Amino acid sequence: MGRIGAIVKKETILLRRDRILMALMLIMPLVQLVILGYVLSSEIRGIPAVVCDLDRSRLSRSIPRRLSSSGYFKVIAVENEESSVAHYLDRGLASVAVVIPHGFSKDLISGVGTGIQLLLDGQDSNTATLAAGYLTGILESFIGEQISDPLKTLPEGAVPAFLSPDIRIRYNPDLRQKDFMVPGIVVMLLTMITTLISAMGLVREREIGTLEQLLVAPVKKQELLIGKIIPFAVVGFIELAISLLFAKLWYEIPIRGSIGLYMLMVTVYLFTTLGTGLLVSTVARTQQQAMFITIFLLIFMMIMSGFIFPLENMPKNMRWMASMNPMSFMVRVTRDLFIKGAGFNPLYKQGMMLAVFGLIVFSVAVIRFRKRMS
Amino acid sequence: MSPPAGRLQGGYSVVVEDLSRSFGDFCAVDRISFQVKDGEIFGFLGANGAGKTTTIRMLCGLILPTSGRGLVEGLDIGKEAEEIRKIIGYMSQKFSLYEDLTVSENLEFFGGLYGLSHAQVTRKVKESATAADLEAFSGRRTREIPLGLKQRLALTCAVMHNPHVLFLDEPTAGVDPISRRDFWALIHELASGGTTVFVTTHYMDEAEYCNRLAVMHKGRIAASGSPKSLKNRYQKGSIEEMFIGLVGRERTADDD
Repeated sequence: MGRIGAIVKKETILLRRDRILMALMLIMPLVQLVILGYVLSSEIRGIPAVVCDLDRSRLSRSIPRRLSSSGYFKVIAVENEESSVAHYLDRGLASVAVVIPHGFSKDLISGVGTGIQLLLDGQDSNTATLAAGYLTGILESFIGEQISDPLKTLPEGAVPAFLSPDIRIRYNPDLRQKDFMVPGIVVMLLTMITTLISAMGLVREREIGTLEQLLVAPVKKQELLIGKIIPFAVVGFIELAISLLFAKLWYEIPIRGSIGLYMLMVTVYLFTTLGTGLLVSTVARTQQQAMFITIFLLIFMMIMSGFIFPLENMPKNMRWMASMNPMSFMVRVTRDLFIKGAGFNPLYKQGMMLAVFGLIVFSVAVIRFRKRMS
Repeated sequence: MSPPAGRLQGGYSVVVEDLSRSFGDFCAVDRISFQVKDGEIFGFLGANGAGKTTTIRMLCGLILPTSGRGLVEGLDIGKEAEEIRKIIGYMSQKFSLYEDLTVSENLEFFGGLYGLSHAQVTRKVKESATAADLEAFSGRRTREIPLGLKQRLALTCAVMHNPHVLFLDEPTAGVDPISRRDFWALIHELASGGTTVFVTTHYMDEAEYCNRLAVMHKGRIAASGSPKSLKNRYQKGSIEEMFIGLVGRERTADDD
């Protein structure tokens, strides 16, 4: 323990003395949480819409108001000719157009059936999909109300088959996007900082020449690596404490699960991130190389973690890559534990996967690390 | 801490036979052979790029030889590097101190790395010839102390565990003449205490301080012997003249 202790102590002093690094590590997560928390959780509101009313009935005239009152759309114009709609979409003045056909009201009431045309600006496919969803929902419930209105007698034989689902949202009843995104940001920060700091640690010593001195000392490589990594793990936990506190106090993110269990999961996860860093430092000769390799890896880890882009949206034949990504498990664990308050049993499988990743990455790093110079 | 009897080969601390090391096509060390006697100061003399550092790194187990054999205190440099590390001290060209640690923190760290307790480190520092200077600067960051002291601090760190053999790679590079002389006094003190010292240098005047020398040129040993015998053999008044006579003309022809 003496040797490991000496390394831990030295590393801790050096970290503390690196004022700029310390400041970066403390301020960076706060800035990112504040900004990304809002940016990534921006729910879609006030999408500019144009309505083309060819029916000009009492019913069709109430549609624009209905769209606006939902809050999701802002009706910027109501046109009476179909040809004038394209102009709004082309100019980017509106992202959606709703075309109500001739005879809409009559056909609806008589039970003949009718349709409404939705035109969507597909440049931003995410917004378009969401807008289509919202529009469909609003129009369906609007039409449903019209048909099922007992005061409006339906003609003989016109029995509208209408299924109204009874939706109850569990775990996050208000559908607060922040509750979903902020835990992801917490994992992203933890991943980034621990991987980077670990990747730079050994390479830095190689650059300044002190690694050579460590290599000739009678220290086992396991002792050397563990001694180097313990202070980095502590940095990770400090980082996590700051982000969690901030998530709780500022964003009022619920943490329903056990903090003890979460710390256990984080500890297991850190073997992966710190191990990845070590692995990078067995490949890189300079800090610059280490930085590039790490950022390259981090981008893949983040994009394919389900933290911003749902994994379900990935093409089927690419999904196996996400299942090879330890960060996707950690994001899942964090969300389940925070929002659902998941306990050990539901998280057991993810935990085991994380442990396997950690063991593999760390072992490969230890095996690859040579007490020799190349 | 005396070396195990019988492992030493006839009073030789370092034995090297046909040792080579190539990096790709470049042969940094080309079939060199030499012996270093127990307790002597052995100088490795040569220009930059002659293969001195590669040799010293092989002897410390930092790089593997391409071919040939080397023994340090009877231990094989290829197979028993871990054992060798326990009984050697090494000071690399860059001194390898942590610039952001204070003088005493560096001493403490390297002591701890060799398994010494705080009390042992304190005693060791007190015993060292530079105790007074190290004491005076103990709280200062290493980056702020004079280069000469930095070097003596690095030496103190390297001998914390009383090594049998001490490898010094250009320990006096870039240091003023007074500091160099002080440093050599320390080396002599260590040698008189029984430590074998293997030192590389490109300062010709320093060669005179060594018991025996090997002159390295382009990966090969061009000449070896005591400073006196070398000067006699080549009919020169100083090691510098001898060195230039031996390798100088060729070197200036293809100098980089």
